[in-house]
Amino acid sequence: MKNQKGFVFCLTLLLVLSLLAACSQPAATAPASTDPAAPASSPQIAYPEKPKDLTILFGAGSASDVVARRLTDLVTKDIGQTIVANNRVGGGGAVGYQHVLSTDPDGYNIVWNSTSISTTYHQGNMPADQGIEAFAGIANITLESAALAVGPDAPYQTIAEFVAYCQEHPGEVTVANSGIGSFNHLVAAALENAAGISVKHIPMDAKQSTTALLGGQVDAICNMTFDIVQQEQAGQIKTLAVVSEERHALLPEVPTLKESGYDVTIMMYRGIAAPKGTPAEVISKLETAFLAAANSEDFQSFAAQYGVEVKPMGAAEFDLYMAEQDQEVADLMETLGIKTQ
Amino acid sequence: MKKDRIIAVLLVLFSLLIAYYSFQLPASTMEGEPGSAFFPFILLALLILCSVGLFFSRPVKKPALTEEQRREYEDLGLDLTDEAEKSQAQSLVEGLLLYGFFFIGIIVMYLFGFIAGITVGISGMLVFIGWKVPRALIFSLITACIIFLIFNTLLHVTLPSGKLL
Amino acid sequence: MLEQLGQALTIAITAENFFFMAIGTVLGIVFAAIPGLTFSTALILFLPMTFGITPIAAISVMLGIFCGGMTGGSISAVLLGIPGTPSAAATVIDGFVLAKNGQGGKALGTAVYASVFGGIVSVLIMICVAPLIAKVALTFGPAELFMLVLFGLSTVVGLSEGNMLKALIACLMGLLFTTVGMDPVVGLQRFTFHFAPLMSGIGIMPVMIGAFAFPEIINTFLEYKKDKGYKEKNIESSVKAAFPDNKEKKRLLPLNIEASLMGTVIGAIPGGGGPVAAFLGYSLAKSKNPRCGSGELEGVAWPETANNAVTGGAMITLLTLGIPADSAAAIILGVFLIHGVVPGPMLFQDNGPMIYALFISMLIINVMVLVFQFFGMKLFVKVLNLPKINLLAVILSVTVVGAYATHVSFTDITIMFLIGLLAWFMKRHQFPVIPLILGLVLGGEIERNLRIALLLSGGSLNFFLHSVVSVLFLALSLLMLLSPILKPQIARLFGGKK
Repeated sequence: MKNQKGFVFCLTLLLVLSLLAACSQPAATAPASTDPAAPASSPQIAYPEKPKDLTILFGAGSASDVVARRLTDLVTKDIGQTIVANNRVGGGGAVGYQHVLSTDPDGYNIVWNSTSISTTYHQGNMPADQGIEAFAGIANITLESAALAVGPDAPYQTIAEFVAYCQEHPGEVTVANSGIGSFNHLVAAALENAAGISVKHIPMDAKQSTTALLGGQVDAICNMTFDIVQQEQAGQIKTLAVVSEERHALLPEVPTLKESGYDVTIMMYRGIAAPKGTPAEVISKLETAFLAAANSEDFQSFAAQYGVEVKPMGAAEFDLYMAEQDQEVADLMETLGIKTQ
Repeated sequence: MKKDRIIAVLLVLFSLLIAYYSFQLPASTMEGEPGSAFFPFILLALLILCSVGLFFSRPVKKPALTEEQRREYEDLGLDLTDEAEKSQAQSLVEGLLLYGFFFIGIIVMYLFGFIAGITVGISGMLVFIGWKVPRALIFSLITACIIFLIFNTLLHVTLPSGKLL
Repeated sequence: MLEQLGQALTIAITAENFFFMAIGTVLGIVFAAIPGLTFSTALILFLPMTFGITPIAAISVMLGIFCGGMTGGSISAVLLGIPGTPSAAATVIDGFVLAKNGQGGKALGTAVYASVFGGIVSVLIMICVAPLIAKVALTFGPAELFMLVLFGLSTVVGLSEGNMLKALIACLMGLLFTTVGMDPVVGLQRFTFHFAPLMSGIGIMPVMIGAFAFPEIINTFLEYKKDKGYKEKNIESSVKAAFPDNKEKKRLLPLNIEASLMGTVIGAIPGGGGPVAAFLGYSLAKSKNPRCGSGELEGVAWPETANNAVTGGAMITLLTLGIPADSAAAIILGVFLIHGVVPGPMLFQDNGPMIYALFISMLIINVMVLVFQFFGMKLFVKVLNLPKINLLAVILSVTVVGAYATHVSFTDITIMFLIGLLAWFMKRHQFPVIPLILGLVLGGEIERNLRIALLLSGGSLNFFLHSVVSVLFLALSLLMLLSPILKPQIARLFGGKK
């Protein structure tokens, strides 16, 4: 009898502990309280208050992850409905995409989409029927660039020198990027094509590649500028070029590939998407919410701090844009000989 | 010892099966990179080596127990006599049945959700080991509900929700 | 500098900060103590909690979860025989044996003492020589990392429970499990048979829970059935939680320091992490006290010291280089960035007070861990007095939660079940289970680093001869692997020389 009592006691204690934990969480995770700041124009539709799941395709602390979480927090506050962000990593995005596509298109599962859908699909990491057509765009939020960087003591300190060195040592210079099928790899391959050089691609994710560069194990890295900025500012690496139309806001002395004479400007878009077949009103409601968050001062200053360009697009525009980008990526990959499907 | 030999053979067969699948993996595309099948092959080779070793190994002799150790073992409820061999076979069946009940619980969980699954699975196991049915059912149900409340509702840890329910 | 320190104190010593440090620590301990939920789960889950508060408080919550979590794993490892986190997998070996012998309270106390020791020493190291450690961490490229993890793997010889072949087989099985899923280098699927949930591989937590919990629970159930009503063994009914006494503390001290240092460095190396440190800590224990495995305090203390020292190490790399050394640190990095604080060399230059405030907070957190655990221990130990069957039934149910929670995937539950079945068979045929876990935990890193190292060296196998560090670890690994054969030879050699 005494043992039973002790047992119940422990369970109760556990309950109390978890109550404490729950109470200390902000209203965001409790049943939504009415938010006076909610835009009066958001249509009230029969869209029950279950938390929505946002899939983030890359690891915690990465460029993709940080922006997504900030955005999600703003949107949650705005529409008073919880959006829970979950990282589902692997295959250059394949794991996360496949998860989302395996759910019902009811609007409760969305994905923090990016150009990765195209790169990972045409690389063959996704089943044939799960390409860009399987997704419905909700809103585009940002546009980001990749960059090429080397160590501060490297024998090449400009992009021209780098290219020259590579031409003299074909296949020897090691460039770390996120792995075959990833956006960064595509950028590196495009550069090879445009400059007529051939390098050795080493698959490492952003953080490992930075470590490897600092430790001298690889010669160069090709990552999102987001991941490179602060090392550059501290003088620990030297960014040779950014891959975009214009110079990066936080790195004004770094030239673009285009102005250096190599016509590669492909940028990564990031936005929200859902499985095709999601009801139109749901898409519309999410579209309004996410666009509002993207246009908010909070988000704009956050993005500016990290040099991320905010480029909001509505659902229809985003759908067209995604299809366009997919074609561009497919063509590029075909030219480079890495397209599989 | 004979059991060990059977296991060794099974392991070799298993390794060969996996090796077969490994052969179907594409070769490496990068210079210097040994490819996807490299690591599995090494592991499988080592595994086959060890299995062969196991096949031919002599059984580890159990050291003769002193009186004190024998008493200790008895305290811990371990049975060392030859009775143990017989009860081993019986416990195998019983153990498998217990696992079976849990598995049924998993299936129920898949179809009907966490609470239903736990109730069915756990109470099945408890009844099997001697609890009275109502007590087992009530206990499992309450446990399932409390866990559900703590984790799903309060801590927002997602729990399986059935395909049908 | 003093001025910065003063500023730091005002940042760190606030009611808000203390509140969140406490919440984080408690959450970390609780989550880690529940088998299947780890502090990584808690970190992600409570990330939204950090949004509305000051940066220092936000980071304090995360640090609390991290440090508390590293300790929490040992609670279920000792009391239930199920490691609460992968880093506590080595603590089970001696901890659970001690618990079965009625010494659970002492084991728990030792684990807590050792953990806090490791945590505080690693913070001190961080404060004093962070840049130096960071430099050391950077020398670990793929080749060196491969050697380090290989060394960690070689500790399997200490885990063999007398049956080396079977231990090796178990270890190889664990390593094979890691090949399922996405190839780490090429990005194609291996052994997944186009079954989508297997794409992310076989998860560690479902396997760990299945391997540790199921055989134990099933066997206890079977015993109950046989005895028709389980008679509680007459253990002294109050198992008291106790810290190691002074004599034991002295015995543990010298290697406590060594384990802390080792843990800090391993924690600082990107790709190192808790499990590697814990297993190396365990092999340290085994070398000092060969009776480890049958319930020795060293086997509980030194893995725990090492894995808690990882927290300081990981923060070193995070703060000085802005690079997260493992997945928990990556989440913490995310919190930093979301709050607009960018860790790395610039942070030291621009925001010295923040750095000092973080140091202070981390020290306080470790003390909080000690305090909470001190009271918590007495509570947790009561678990040992609960009616066994009821407790195990509840645990069985919670295992489902744990297995499902990581990837929200039903496949994980099935994997847990199947591994549970496998582990039960293994136990019945004297195959040790810990090597399987060892292989599973370390396999991914070993393969990835091996292949990248080969890629970098252009395919030549002598890549590991290129640096002192990798040669060192290679030698250590070989020594470790050959020790069962060498030791008796050496003993004979020295024994003969009377």
